Amino acid sequence: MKKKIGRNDKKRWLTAYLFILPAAIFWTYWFFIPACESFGLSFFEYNYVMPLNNHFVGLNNYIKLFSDNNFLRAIQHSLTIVAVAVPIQTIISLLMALIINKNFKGRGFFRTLFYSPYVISSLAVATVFMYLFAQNQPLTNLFSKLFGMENSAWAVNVRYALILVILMYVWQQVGFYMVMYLSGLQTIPGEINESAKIDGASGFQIFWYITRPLLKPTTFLVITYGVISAFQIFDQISAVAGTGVLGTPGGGHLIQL
Amino acid sequence: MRLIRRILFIIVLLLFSVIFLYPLIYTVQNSLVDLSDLGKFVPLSRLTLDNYILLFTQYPVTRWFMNTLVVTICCVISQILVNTLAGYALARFDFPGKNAIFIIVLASMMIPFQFILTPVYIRLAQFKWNDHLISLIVPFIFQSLFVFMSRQFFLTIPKELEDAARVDGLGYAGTFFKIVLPISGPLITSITILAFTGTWNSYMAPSTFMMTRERFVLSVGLKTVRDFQFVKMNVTLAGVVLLSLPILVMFLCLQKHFMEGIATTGIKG
Repeated sequence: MKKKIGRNDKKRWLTAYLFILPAAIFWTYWFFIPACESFGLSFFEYNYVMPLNNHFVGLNNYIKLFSDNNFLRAIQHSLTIVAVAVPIQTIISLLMALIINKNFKGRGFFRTLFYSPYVISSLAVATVFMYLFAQNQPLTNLFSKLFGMENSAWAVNVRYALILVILMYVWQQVGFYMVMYLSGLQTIPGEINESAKIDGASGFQIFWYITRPLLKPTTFLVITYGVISAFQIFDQISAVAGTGVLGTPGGGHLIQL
Repeated sequence: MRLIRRILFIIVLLLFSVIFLYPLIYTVQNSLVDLSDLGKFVPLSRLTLDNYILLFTQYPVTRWFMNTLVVTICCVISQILVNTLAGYALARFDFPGKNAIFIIVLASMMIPFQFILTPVYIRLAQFKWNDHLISLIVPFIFQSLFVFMSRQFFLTIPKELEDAARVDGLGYAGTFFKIVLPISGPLITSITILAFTGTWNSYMAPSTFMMTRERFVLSVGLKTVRDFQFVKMNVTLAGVVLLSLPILVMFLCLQKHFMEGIATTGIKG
């Protein structure tokens, strides 16, 4: 069934294009062209100050990058952060969502409390965590008592810097994924749980055989989004490994792509 | 059995609350004490605002604050206007190339800003815009996430209202601004929160684009303070409070609508 294109249609098209136009201009000029340039530049020896010297070098920059030990180590660190932080934050955020989803007084307060770190600057969070885990600070003391870890500043400790980054990252992010799980939980009709209860299913059975499978789409989203943002982590690393007077932890130094 | 589960539930809830409250309390408490009182619980009378006064007198914090506020407000308003318009067109009109544009929007979401940082900086330098606040606004007006969120939201609201407005003789633009936007509260709040936090907290772009100390935004300025004053934890933590408080207040004011917005704008499974 082919519709005739009338004057009215043309007018609607024009309106649609006009509505999209501002976004399209900004996208083209500040996103698409720079992205193409970035890709193109990666095959050039390029110096902004001395443009005469710029020339095509093919894959040379990539070869240089992948034979750079710092870069390889940075990739390794990025992968570690993703592999450790994403599973932890997924499980904790699900647990938190299950708690908040219960009907009790003041759940709004707890929901807001758990989400609030997500709106704060990562730089601020990183600074606070660096102090919390400085030598003889309450949390360093606690961890050294509980797990026998060294009582020294984690941010400058080669072995602990990455753990510190993961801790602060998860602390800040879980609230966001909790909200995702909460809206996922709200799509599960209450009758299903009710009838399972009548059939004698325990709380854990309900979770494992009903809630968990029904939350699969949400979990997929949480993990996908989690992996993407964990790979892009920059501010926290820059705050911990940056030019602070505390110095840079040799092994915890990350270069971000 | 019931009682045990209830107690267990309360314990877990309290544990989480401590984990989330403790860093906040620690920050506020230590920002309000003298260097010698760090980490101690002191009587209320010994709390002092000296650290904040020091920040405001020795650093151009007021200036940084104004810069951040100007950039954030400009970004929030322009991002809402430009991106909801595009999202509305994608949700309501049928036109050639619509699907291609939607795919472009989705694909743009996958690419991190780091990827285009260098060419954007070169562009800004060509305009002589580097080291000016405008460099923190114009390149960030298009946000693929907000276009996506708007599209998802507008698909859920009934079309009849707009048809009625059209019958009454309102143009397309009039319908959008006078009828559609006013009933899009959840969408506008969600975008406002995300745009506000995104701009206020951004660090990588402002630390790359700005050079003059007076033109810094708060995050960059306070980072330099932190690097010089790291030993003085109370001063640094006062800076952390200054950076975080406005955004927390903003969030607390808008959060009721925000949770509703999350459910209708497609940020969920």
